[in-house]
Amino acid sequence: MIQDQPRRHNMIGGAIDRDKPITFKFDGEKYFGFEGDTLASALLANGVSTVGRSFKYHRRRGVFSIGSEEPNALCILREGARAEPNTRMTQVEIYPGLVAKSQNRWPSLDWDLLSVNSLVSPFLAAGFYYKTFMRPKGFWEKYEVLIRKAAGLGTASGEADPDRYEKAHRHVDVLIVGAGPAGLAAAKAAMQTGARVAILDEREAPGGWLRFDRELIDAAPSDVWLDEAVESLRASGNVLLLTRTTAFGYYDHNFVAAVERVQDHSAVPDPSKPRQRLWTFRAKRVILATGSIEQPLAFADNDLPGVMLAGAVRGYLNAYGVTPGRKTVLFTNNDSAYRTALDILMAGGAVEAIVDMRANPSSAMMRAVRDLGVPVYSDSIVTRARGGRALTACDVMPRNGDQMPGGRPVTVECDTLGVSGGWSPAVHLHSQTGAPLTWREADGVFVPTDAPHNCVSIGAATGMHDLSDCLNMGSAAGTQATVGATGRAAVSATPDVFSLREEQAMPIREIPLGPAVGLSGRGKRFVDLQNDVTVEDIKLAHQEGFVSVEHMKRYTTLGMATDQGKTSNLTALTIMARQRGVSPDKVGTTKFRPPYTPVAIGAIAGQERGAHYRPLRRTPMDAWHAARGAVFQNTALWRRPHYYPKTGETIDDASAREVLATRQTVGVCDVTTLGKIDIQGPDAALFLNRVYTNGFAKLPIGKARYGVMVREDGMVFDDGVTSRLGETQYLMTTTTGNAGPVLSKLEFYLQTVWPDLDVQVTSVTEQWACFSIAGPKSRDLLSGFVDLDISDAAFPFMAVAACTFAGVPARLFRISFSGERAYEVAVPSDYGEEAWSLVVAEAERLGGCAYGLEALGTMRIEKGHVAGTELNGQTTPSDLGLDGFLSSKKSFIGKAMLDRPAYQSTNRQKLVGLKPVDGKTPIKAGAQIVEDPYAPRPVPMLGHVTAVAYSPELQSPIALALVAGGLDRLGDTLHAAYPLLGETVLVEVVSPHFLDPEGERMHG
Amino acid sequence: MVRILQRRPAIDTASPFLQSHISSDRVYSEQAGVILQPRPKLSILQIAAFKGRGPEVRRVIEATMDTAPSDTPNGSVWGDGFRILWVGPEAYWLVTEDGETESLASRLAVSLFDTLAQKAALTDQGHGRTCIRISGAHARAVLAKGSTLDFHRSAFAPGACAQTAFLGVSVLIDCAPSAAPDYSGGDAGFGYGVFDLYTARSSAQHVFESLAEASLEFGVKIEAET
Repeated sequence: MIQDQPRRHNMIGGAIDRDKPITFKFDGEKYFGFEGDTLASALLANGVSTVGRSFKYHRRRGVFSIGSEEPNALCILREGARAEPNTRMTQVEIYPGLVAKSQNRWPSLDWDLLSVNSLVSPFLAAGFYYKTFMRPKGFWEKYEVLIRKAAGLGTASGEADPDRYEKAHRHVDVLIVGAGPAGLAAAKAAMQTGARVAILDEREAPGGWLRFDRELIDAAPSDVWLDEAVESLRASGNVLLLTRTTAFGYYDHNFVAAVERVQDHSAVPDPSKPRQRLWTFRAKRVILATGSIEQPLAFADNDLPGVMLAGAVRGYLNAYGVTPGRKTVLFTNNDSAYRTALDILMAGGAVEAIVDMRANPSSAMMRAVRDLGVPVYSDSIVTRARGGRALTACDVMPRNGDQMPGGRPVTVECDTLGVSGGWSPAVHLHSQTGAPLTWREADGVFVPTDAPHNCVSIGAATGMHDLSDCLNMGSAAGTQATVGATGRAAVSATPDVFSLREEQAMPIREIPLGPAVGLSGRGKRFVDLQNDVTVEDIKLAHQEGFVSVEHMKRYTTLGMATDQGKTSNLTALTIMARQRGVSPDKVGTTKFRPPYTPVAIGAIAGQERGAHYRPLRRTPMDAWHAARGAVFQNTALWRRPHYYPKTGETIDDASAREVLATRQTVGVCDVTTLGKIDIQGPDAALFLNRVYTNGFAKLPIGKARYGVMVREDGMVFDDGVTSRLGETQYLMTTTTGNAGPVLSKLEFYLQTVWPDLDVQVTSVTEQWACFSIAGPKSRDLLSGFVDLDISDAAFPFMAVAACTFAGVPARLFRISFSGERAYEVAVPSDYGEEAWSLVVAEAERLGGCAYGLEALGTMRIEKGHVAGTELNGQTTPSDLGLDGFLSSKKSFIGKAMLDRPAYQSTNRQKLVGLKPVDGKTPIKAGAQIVEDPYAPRPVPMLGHVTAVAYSPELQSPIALALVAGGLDRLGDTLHAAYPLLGETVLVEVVSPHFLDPEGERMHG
Repeated sequence: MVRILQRRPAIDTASPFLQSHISSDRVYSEQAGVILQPRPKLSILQIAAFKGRGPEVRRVIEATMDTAPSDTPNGSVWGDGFRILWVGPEAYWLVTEDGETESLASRLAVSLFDTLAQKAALTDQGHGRTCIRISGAHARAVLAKGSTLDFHRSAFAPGACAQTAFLGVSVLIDCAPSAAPDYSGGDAGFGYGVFDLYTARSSAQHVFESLAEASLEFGVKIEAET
């Protein structure tokens, strides 16, 4: 296998298992890697230098980093419905059968037609699109199609994600973000007191940079300390250690959200496991050990494949045994590149030169490297990277301050150029708390300060470089956090570390251009590799007045997209600061917002997808409806039968049949979903008198009454029938959709407005299965089931009684929504289905049937009963013809407002009925009512159609509408206009009570 | 025609969703880390004291059931065949279970209807709420997937009940007494427990299926109704 991987070292590499080779495919080519490899390390081991094309210029790009900050190495991982775009190869663990494709190229990575953009790049500077596609006016929509095709990163699969996602929640004493040396030391200290600890790390294994660096702890390789630390945490019963888990958002009150990639490292997830899991933590103390991110240097053509972060070069070597190059040059403004040099030399590799911007580097590390024979160019810069398909050499010149250096460059051959612009603390989560950052001039980074009292940053996240300091700080923070969170004291030992101390870095990352070379001039100095933003673009933004960082970001696109500028923001704002002649802390940073790295929508949805997208509420008769082939309609969270089609029937056929059967014999309808509220207490009558517009105090026991509730502003809130079950007990019904809101409102009144009233309210919607039995034969049907005299004399309209129904305790109500003689039966829910099936069978024997919402709606429209579309929050009782329900003898909620002049206007839109003048053309719900559809625009609107139906009894389309002037227009001819379809129907204004206006059928 | 109706429980343990997810032997295992069991035939009497009647109502309950309701919020107490759950200020659920014959506890509960009349609002919720028992070595971890409450064994122990949302659905979760759990490393505080989760009847199928899905990784067994 090693032979297949030209860049794999045959000894080094603790992260990989050489006994477990893995085959994978990248852009159709087959490669080998080892278990433990990332896609980036495996491709580097195979000598693959170009892994993607850049966003705008389509330039070749190689792997640049070794972590989640990666700007270049993005791929579409997996195929088909599981394809995931913009996946960072540096975080993808390879698995057998892995398939990945590079992005942003067409037709192939090696031969990309859009790389012509590079040739016209002088015209494609920041703001190009804004300036160019402004004119001619209105053409943007045409340009956009083309630009969209050329732009963007990866593309989504367009198919439904077949995998599962879920959420999990934890409360902890101490949450530690980052399991590097500082985080692990903190966890070890916190663990010892029995505090509840969670420690998260975004990489596949704990250790942070201990896995990438060669360090000694307690006189042994740091792996020993790391293994022992991890083992002790895993063995403890009070520590949750999660790897592959990125804390991406830090919200109020120490609420931290993280995403765990549970099964991303396999082609097809284990069916028992989710692909990803969204964690939320509520922590008493948060310790941020998020590490730091190495920054690049902006010199000409610094984007050539082969130019990498110096730390990444060393990390790939130490952890994966990958030697990215045979000839390496390192370019740095600080000491950490010397670590890379030492590690390469230890591994038997060659370092051609170190180019150090500092005038007099003098650290022990520097001396060690020089003593090993590596040329060190101090006070020097790399002015340009050279190469076609990949890096072949770089130009080195003496530094001339900020000015272009004079003379001719020394060209050093190399295939890898490790750059280090210093290490910037990963302050994202700290900053998300709203806490400030402080500019540290010495090495040009922002460090976290003034964290909230229950949060602290430690280790490299504070700008600390030395391992020993990080471990000490970690232990102390773990101890302190535990004491703060639990009140228990803690002691911990700090390990002894031998580490080479690093010296002061230099806070400069913009490298002056060197002399021009051939056709390509002086080259491009990239600041943001992901968005192709150069030093010149930032200067252009400044020149054009976009001097604030937020404006600069939006003008240049710097810091956008998947990496959110982890390797570019800092350099960009220091350049802007120099342009403005102020200190970088005066320029400030853009706002750090969640997420730290991209989060899949699936993880945010969790289990709430597909059939469980919303909690579906089913009535006790649901299985019967489904078995009978009911077509369902959702009402709030409930599903209710819309109609019960027989073979070949349309909705209109079925509904007409159900209406006629009900009006001629008997129909049965599941009305369980109506809200039912049990109201008990000595003050129940008084309470109802206040919340309903009409009186309830004198309602006799055993009687029901229709009631109207208005809001404080006088608009109708809800309606329903309320029955008096006893001296101090009422049962209120509400509309299906308002069951929750009405109960909340009643609780609100009782708890805050009238706490003196002795009333208890509770929902019993779920306790009772309810069905209505309507039609001339309803009493015949019912008499076979109840143990009650239901003659009209004994049980008249609006009577209520407890009874037994088929042997079980039940409640019977003689109320009607359909306008027919009708009864409502309530049985305890578990009996609902059997009671219902017996009743429907009996109805069918009598020539009737079960009916659904469509028939229910038709019948209520025929009767002019108001429902949801009329109770729209803009109608008063008077608008709906409910003046008769406004009591003058008592006060009620909203009463004062009903006297407002605007509510008395004769021109208010009020409920009317409509019929097509030709007796046959259907009217559309939502149609606008106008006098003359051809009047000059804007056409005056008189109102709109709220509900439509075809009345099988009247054999005509009918409608309810809210029309200005209401029934004063009785007999007028108006137009129901539906401009979306260019339709108008000539309609006549009629009474909304289309059928049986006197209610003779209902009363029997 | 008089015919005594049969109760039909709210949960279908063989729904298409459950069959498609819990079909293989590997998941539906005897070693299941989570056991889900519908408990459909409970009686639930909701008792909410009228103004100033709280102490009196507590005394009556204690005298009848020989157990005083919890006087702290979110507390539960229990006796032979019943549990009393705190569901609000001076409001309780008396949950009783009938086996083949009517239990003493349910007879006592029925007698409360008379003795507490005029002292408290009494509402039967036995058909309106559906109970699901969740037990097993990973029961706590499953609850912590749907609710943001703290289900660590030190924070939610027998004697505690709480009203919360489970994946967006209102539920009441009651921690039942159980044998001391085996200690294990890692996330041990989120291991063994026995819980009764009460939800609205209409949402019970949704909640049951969601619980089953959340339990898949631990191995889930669905036990017959009792």
